[in-house]
Amino acid sequence: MKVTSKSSKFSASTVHLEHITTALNCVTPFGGKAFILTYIDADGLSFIGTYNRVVRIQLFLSKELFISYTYENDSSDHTKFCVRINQVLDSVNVANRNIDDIVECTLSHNGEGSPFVLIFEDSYISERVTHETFLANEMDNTGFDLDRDRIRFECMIKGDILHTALKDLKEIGGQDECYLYAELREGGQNIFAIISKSKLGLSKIVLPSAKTILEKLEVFDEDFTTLCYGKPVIALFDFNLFDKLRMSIKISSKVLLRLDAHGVLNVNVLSLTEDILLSSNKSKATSSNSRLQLPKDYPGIVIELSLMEKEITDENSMRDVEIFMETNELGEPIKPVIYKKKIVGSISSAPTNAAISRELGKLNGTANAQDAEIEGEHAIQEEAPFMSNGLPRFF
Amino acid sequence: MSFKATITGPERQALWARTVNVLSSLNKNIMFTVSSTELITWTTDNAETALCKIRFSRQFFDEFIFNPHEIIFGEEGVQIVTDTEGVDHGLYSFQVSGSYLGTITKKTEGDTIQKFTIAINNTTTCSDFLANRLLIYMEMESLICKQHSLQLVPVKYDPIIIDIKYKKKFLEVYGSSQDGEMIDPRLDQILRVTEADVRTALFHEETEKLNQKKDHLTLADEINYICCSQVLLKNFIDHCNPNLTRELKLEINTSRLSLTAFSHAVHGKNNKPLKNALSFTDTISTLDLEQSCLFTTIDEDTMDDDQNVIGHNAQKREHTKNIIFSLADFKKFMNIISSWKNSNESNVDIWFRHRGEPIMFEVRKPDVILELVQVTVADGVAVVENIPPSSSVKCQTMMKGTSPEKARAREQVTKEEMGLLRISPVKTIAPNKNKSKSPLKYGKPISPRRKIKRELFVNDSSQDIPSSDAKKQKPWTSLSTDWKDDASLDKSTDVVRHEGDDINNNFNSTIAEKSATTVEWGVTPQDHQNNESKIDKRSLLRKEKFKYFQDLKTERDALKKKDPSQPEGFGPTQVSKPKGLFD
Repeated sequence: MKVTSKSSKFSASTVHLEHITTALNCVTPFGGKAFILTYIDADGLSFIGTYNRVVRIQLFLSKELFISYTYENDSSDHTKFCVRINQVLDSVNVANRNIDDIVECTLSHNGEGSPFVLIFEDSYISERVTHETFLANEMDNTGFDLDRDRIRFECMIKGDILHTALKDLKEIGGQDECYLYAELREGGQNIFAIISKSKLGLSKIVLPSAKTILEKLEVFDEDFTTLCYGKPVIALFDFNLFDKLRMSIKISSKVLLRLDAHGVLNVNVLSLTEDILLSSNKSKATSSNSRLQLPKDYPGIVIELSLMEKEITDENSMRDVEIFMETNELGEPIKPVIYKKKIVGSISSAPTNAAISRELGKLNGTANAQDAEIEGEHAIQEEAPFMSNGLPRFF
Repeated sequence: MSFKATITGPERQALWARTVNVLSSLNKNIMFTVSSTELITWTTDNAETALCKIRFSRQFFDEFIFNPHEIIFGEEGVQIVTDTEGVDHGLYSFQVSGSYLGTITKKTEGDTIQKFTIAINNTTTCSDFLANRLLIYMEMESLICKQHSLQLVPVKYDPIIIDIKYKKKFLEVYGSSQDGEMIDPRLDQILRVTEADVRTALFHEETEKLNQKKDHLTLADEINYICCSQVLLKNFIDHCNPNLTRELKLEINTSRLSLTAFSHAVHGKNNKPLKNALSFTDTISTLDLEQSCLFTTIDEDTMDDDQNVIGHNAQKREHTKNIIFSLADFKKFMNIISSWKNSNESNVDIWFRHRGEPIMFEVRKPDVILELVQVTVADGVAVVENIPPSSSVKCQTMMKGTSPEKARAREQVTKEEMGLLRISPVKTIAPNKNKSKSPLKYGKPISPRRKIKRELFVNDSSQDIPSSDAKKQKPWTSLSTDWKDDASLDKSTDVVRHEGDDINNNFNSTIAEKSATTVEWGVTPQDHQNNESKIDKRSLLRKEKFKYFQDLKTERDALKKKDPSQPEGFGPTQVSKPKGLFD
């Protein structure tokens, strides 16, 4: 029985195979052998992948990339289907190896049930690759969407520096978890760092706070509207998941990170056309880059990643992280900065889990004579406002 | 702040990184010792056959702070040591994992380290989780700052002080003014530097009470010294592959220095060759060396094992020193130096004694002293101490630019000193490499010494005429005698072949114990290990062969015929030996 296919027709052709390869390489950590959702509409082609429902990537290739782009659909304005991304990547890679000639790639799909077809043509050879597709269920996006009203911190940083830091972290190896640490300080010396715990011990990589690199850092208070100085936001992530973002950050020029109160880290990767590393094989990129310029009005690859934060259950390690951040190169504690708070409104929203555990840590810490001198100042200033908040005490 | 040291500059970073890499390749743990004047980093390999120690002086670092009295945590690593001048020095020693340190200091692509700091804060201001941690802080060119906290284990510093021991011996032997001789200024400077080293050293071995007078030197005092440009060694080492050639033999006499990288043939069952013997030799004239001091002996009277004077042999022998050690560790050591700019100008100092005793290499650079001590292979030659004098010993110093004629002229001026008896190697036990004590630490040679066995009945062999003495006393034709006797220095191919054979012989041979009048087969002496019984047979066989040929020469009655069907016989490498009745 032939399934009556909804009448939708999609066809797009491009010569920028390296670009496609680069884009698909960013998606591969999320799929591998699994299926990636492909979403086609009039504006362009998107690939959406998730991993264990805790991390998601949305990669958008705008229609300006393609020489010709046709999309017709009678019933709806988009088409969705799932396809094995590593196979698509393989076929594109094979065609990409042809450096002598320009290869044109045509992607096409004709309605539900029909395969996703790639046709590679150069002067002599025409190759047609058919990938089977299947229908996608409705993607459950709840939990991934960023709550823009409850942002805990926002950070805009240059992509290459962040990538260097992530690569370093990867090379050390052996980590299970990593922390993101963001703190506003007076005088523009903001701190944005990644801390990891491995068998070597605690390692921290502090990204430079120069305005040219860390373009923007905003840490919000409990009310999510006022800036908070001196009090860091520490978020815990699984390192393997965090590492999946690395490929996307590699091609980026700027990265915007936002963490909301629900523990969703949203990473927007903005890659300007000129800055893109078109392929992992740099020598190939340089040779063919000179021949093929990306279209002028093409905005570049747009990637949006969402990652779920891990709950911090171990207050001691949280405290260790804080102390570690507060120690200088000699291991001596830096005098804690007396922070100012621009109190605008009253504290109304419920504190997050992270904030609760931090308070627990601090309250435990005051009992410890050793930490008294480090945390004393914090405790004095913090205890009063927060204890009066009616924080539930778990001990 | 108890300890902090900062390194800046790409060259020094590279040296540090290479040091850490080489040390971590020897052993997974690296030891550090900090004093107010220097930072010592060292390790031995797992079998304790090689020790590599690099000392960075305070000036190597841009910033160096050490306050041992502030240490609260990890105080097991604190030591107070008094040096020879009565000054107290505080030391702090600890151990870290080399692989982790190597991972951290590895150079990342595209980003260079501007400043590298290591620090320990075990003071009162240290928080719990930062106690006993080595804090490594790096400022990168890209303005990223990285900090790592690496677990350290405080230990006590108990060094292997072969370097001090050898330097002391060197000063003793060569430093004493020789009558009527001018000391070369270069040697003088070396002696001065060595003296300063010994004086400022913190750890000394306990002085042994010697019964002998100080101005008499014995073979037990042997110490040789070579100073050569590191380019010579580097050029040779670069061509060697430690996977192919396992060991390195260094030979030196008054005219030549020869470096040979070799590996033995490996035979499987039924003498099937699994791997062929391979060697690669480089010969350098001693005129190209910066300096060399060789300890040589002159036998005036040759003795046999029973101390009967057989003949007078006033002819002095030109001695060739040779010593064998592992190539792989030496190659790694030389690699550390290559990262330094102007490395072509630096010299390698080599000290060694008899075969079997460790060999020491030292390279001095401004603010850095690199040292490698390795065990060496011993053969059957044995030395016994405290023997009544019968021959003279002289020390021979060769200097750069001295022609052999002048050297010989100098040799005429010798001191009549107490010598010692060359004991027949038959009497001693072969090298036993399974000693539980580290040969580096306790300084004992691998081959133990035994007392001379006094026999009631004299063997036929001891009544041989003197002309065959030289050969007889060392039936194991070691390379030195080959070189001297055959003048085969120029015949490189012959030498190679000889080496291949003799190396096999030397290592396979053990010295069998002589029974009173008969030679027994298959009897394993009590002291030997079981796996040497086969070797005993082989060595006994060789001994008998020698006796047999001597008997033919002197036209004596042939010995009893042996059972021709030997279990193993000799391997196919014995091509140079004539096949006799026993083969």
